[in-house]
Amino acid sequence: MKILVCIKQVNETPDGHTQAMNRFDEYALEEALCIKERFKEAGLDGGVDVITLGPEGAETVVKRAFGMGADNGCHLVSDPKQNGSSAVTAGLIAGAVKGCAYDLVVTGIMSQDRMEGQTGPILAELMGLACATGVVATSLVPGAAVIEVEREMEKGERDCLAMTLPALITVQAGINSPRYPSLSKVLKAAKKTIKTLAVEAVPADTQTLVRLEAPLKSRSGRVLGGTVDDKAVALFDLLRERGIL
Amino acid sequence: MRPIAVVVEHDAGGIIPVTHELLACARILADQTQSSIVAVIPGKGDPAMAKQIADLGIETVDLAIIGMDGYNSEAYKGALFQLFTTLAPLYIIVGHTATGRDFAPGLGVRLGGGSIAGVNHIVSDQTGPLFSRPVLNGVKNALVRPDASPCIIMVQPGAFRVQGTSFACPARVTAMDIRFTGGTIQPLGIKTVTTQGEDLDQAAVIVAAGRGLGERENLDILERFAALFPNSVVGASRPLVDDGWIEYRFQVGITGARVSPKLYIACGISGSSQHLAGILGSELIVSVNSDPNAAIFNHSDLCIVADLFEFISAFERILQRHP
Ligand SMILES: Cc1cc2nc3c(=O)[nH]c(=O)nc-3n(C[C@H](O)[C@H](O)[C@H](O)COP(=O)(O)OP(=O)(O)OC[C@H]3O[C@@H](n4cnc5c(N)ncnc54)[C@H](O)[C@@H]3O)c2cc1C
Repeated sequence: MKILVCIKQVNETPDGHTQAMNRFDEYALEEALCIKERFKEAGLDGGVDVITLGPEGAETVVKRAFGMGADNGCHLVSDPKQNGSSAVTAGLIAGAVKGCAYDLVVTGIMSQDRMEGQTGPILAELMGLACATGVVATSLVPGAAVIEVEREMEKGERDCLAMTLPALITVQAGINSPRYPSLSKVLKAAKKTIKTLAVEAVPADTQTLVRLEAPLKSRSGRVLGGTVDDKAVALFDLLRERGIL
Repeated sequence: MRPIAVVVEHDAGGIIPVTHELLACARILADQTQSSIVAVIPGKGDPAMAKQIADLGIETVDLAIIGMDGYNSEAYKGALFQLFTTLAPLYIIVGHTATGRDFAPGLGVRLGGGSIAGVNHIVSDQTGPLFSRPVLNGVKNALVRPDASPCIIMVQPGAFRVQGTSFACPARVTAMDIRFTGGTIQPLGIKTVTTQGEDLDQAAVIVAAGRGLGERENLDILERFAALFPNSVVGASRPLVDDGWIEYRFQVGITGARVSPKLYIACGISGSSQHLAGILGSELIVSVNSDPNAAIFNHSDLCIVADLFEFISAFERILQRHP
């Protein structure tokens, strides 16, 4: 069972000082590791590779993935000025993994920063794989050629389906509890090499960012001023006035 | 003239309300581009449903996908690819919903076009329509111009207001069959897993906790804060539920509960579109967040820029003085 997990480094704080693995990708990686372990228990082979597209420095997320238990890692080094959409990301990843026969590709449901949720389904199309998005449960019998999944729908419903492998799934948060990197794996990870690939031809994007704008306001948005005590008093007064307190 | 196509969302119960928001979005685009609108219902063939849409004055294609049993992304992509290759729409309007997100991005690739996710607004520009979508946790909207055609517009539920229906002449319905012979996806049915609790529905005040809480132990502080208000309950953003800090029935948002209390106090919640979708029916929204740029402030009546723990202690002190 060869599994590929796509991971991304994102800013965890507004100032960009703290960077982390996209939270949704942690669930994707955990799910892949669990599947690999199930195969191992059944005496079958399993391996988890991770790939990230990002500027120099983004390989930190590959190291974290090693610490969690990924076997191999690849960093596709992008130009930090390049700000392509999911279509570009998926195109570059599809190019980089061409010829690697993965049984299963796993991505997070979306990235925290761009929030498109499209890299997975576009990658599936480019790789010619069946695809299920927003997966909240998986089951597969080691050795069988099928994966059963449940996709989260609105209103607490789940769409259940079986896909013939190879296939791609995008994983919704809450499907599992992502493990912390283990010390022994982190130590071993230090000796692992990350395959580094330079991005050469960037595929044409399907859209151009024209500008960023402040979102429309749906309510008045009165900002309370003064000290924290002043703000507490202002809220208290308003709630008294409204008869809530 | 290339039309604007709308992919109708439906389930066993009929047309899903988001479809009307898709039509509202299509009308805006049709006005800007002088195009006509055609609605497409991918399914088993349902003349009654097709008539409902056509009666709104919208030309409708009742697309029976023979061999498809329940939603199947492969069948959707295959059949819609065939239909749109001949229909040649300029834009295809789809919900940014569990279903839309599943088939639209792949369909865009197959059609040689593109797809824009989570569209919440359309801006008219000399070069044509620009599409707005949230980025950076909703702190900004990105205005993007499609460079590939057709472009699939994945519409954020709740973003486009449905206008009252004015009288319209019923439009034409075209019935069409497309055979699906794929076989890598096997539908196994829809399962209902959770029943939503009544706690959130009945509370007058919801104090909602987000990732700004930091540690699970801090939930106690929110419980204490909530207890200061009569008929109150602690709700949460999804990550807290995903991490098992709080039960699913207390989750607010598009995949949780849509609430409408008298007062909603969001503590350490950034205001993602998925969370916002659940709270906009609240009478009064108060947000406490240490980041002055947090998106939630755009949808709040009262904005409190503060560390939530400092603010809660300050509030508790004030209340002690005015019992
Ligand atoms: C298909 C789909 C469905 C989803 N459905 C839902 C849903 O139903 N409900 C939902 O909530 N989410 C949902 N999500 C997740 C959603 O996209 C966001 O990830 C989530 O809402 C973020 O939760 P948050 O605001 O608590 O966390 P974050 O976005 O991490 O925000 C934390 C906030 O806390 C602030 N903060 C930090 N420390 C402090 C402090 N000490 N004092 C004050 N403020 C502080 C920060 O400034 C930040 O704004 C869904 C996602 C997907 C893809």
